[in-house]
Amino acid sequence: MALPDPLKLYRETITRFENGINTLAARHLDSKEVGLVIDQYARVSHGLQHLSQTSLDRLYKRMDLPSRAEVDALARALRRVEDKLDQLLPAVHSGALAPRPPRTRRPVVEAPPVPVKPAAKRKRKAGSDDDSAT
Amino acid sequence: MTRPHDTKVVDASLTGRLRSELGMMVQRGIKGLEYLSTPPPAVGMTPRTLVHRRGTLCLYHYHPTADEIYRVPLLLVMATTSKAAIFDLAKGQSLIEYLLARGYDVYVMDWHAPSPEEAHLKLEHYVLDFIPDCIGRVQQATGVDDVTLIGYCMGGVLATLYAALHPGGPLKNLVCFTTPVDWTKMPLAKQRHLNPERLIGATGLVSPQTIIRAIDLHRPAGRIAGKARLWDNLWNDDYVRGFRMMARFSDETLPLPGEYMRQIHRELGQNNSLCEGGLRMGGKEVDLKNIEVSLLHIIAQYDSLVPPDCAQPLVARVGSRDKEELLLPGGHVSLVAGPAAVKRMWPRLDRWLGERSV
Repeated sequence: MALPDPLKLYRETITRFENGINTLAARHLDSKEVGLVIDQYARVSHGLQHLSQTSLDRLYKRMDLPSRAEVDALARALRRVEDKLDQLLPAVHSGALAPRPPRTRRPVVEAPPVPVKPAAKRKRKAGSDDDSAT
Repeated sequence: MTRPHDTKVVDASLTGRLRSELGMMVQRGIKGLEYLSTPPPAVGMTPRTLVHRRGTLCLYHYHPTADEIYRVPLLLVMATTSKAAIFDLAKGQSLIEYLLARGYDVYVMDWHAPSPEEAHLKLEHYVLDFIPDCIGRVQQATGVDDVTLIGYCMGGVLATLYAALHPGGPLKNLVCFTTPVDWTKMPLAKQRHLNPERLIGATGLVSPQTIIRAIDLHRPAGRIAGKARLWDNLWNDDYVRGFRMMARFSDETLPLPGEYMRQIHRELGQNNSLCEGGLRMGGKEVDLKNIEVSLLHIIAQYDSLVPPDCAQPLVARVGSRDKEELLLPGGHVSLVAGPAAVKRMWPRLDRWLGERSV
């Protein structure tokens, strides 16, 4: 009797579970209930995010540390300066760093297969090499 | 690496099986520790030069590796929610590395996370400003007027909108990967009871977490099943590496400007105006019939995000004479990256592009 393979069973179960849930979701993704759940979830999630953000901001302020928003604003300001510098500096042509091969490439034309003719019966010549091979 | 069970010399006895399972369990333990203690593999390592940067926009030029390149350069447009690293995962798994080796001159429009100051950005900014700006820079750098535009997912929508609004050129070819056109066939866009304002945060942006959750809704069990499969395959270095690269790509999801999301929800989602008409941009109506350049649309057969019937109307509605649709096995991401893409999609793309890039 063949021994049951627990890992094979495990893999089959995972696949069945995945297919079942995904099919169910695909069937109900446009339903009113799912829409309302996403809506509620988004509302609660944004509320919690706002709450945690304001709490963290207060904590950072008390610890005399910059908040995430301040660091992001600083990064954006730095990026704007870099962008301005890029515009002011002479444009570094990509060719200056990258090789510039000639633009002459053509696609490789695949030769159409030559129709194979049925081989004609060869006339045997007296004293030919074939003879010597036999 | 071969799974012990897959080898032909399997010891079918109970002792042999126990020995094999025990070996794998030890391997899982060791590799599991390695997984936890090492950073994810680096992605996007193909040599490139930053050509231009403006706010959320970045234009990169990848260094050619062939001795001779095609005349027409390629400009890849990434979806605005993701980094272009999906085109350049790792050596041997990089679409960009492949295209360079096949003799193409590759430019990529990549994105930085938009700042709250960029929350006002709309489709018009991307289609009528960013893309024309990058095309102009590519033309200037290469000295070639013609450009091939390649867009992935929403990047494909942006490229399609650009092509429809610029029928006079300079586009030579348009390639779209799994691009949504008929939004009535898109699962989440069909949801009429969702208020998009709830998805926009206090900064005016849609957070990456919200985008990831919205994507996960299409396959809610995918993440848990993925973790369970990872545990099963922890002994397999290639599997773990692939999993971590994809996880890293997903973790690097970018926020979306709120105004862009509102416009997509209203115009494309609710009005389905890309497919049915009525979308106006810069005072002009977007008509897919205006697209007359050569078009290739590659669609993934098992895409849960952009199902084939959502993507298929593109080829039917454009005015191009030279147009082709390729329906390939795979999902939304595995169409462009991963071992299946290397074998299935990339050679077909190269064959199509090669003939039209001279």
